[in-house]
Amino acid sequence: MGEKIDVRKIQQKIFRDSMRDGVTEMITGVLLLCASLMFMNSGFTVLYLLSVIYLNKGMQRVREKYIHPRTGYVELKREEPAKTVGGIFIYFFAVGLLMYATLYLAEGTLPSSDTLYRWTPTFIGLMFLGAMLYLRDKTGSTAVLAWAAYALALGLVFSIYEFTSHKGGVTLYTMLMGLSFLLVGFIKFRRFLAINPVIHEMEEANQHEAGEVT
Amino acid sequence: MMAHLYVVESADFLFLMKQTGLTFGNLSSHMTRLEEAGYIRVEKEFIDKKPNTKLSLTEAGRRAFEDYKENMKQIFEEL
Repeated sequence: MGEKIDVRKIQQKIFRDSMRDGVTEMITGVLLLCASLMFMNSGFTVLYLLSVIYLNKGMQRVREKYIHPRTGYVELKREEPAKTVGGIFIYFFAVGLLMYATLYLAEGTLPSSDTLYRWTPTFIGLMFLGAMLYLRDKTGSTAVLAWAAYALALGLVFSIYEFTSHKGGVTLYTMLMGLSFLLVGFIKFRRFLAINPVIHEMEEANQHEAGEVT
Repeated sequence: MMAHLYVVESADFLFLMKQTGLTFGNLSSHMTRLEEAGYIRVEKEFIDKKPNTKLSLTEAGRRAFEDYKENMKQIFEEL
């Protein structure tokens, strides 16, 4: 009991461990793929909205079935919803406004919808940058910034390149990002299942009583 | 164990075993003592017909841990 306890590091480790299963990446991937379908054909907007509503529930189910029997269950500290949502909106509007002003200054006129669509990949990349900076703070891991760098670099490439269709860049960008997240998430998920066997509390108790575990 | 419970809302026995690296027996004995002291709340339930033990800090446990943290901080500052 004589050692100094770093509560923040424990909290960051718990958060980091809760992200090791790859489920968050897979869900993000599916969301981005649905978004790309929406950009391809606005008829898919309903599918995108449904995915936003139901994927969180799906993520919980996957965790209950595959993750909790392996690592146990933890309910992370609840954050103040007003603070979190407020922070996201402030960042969203600040980046949006800054990009709009930059495009206005660069073109000398109010940006057209074509121009806005063209620069949407960069905007999404900047959104990822914000999200990953938040995650770096929560997990204490700078590795998450690799996603931010990838998203932003790809966003710039897809914005600068001239596509024949005004939605071509954003459609391909969200599709490529979605596939990347899905692939990385799936690999992480498979690896997680392979190295974390299912443990039952009762089996542990029985082993303990039989003297197999000290 | 107290530090882990301090930073979350609640966690089950398996999670704490994995995070703390304690064995079933060790953690079980810690759990009993802390529950007797009124520092943690233990809820036993069945999930998919399997037993599950959920633990969380009580208000007294939270205060006790904060006092402990403060004391340790002072000791380290004095060193």
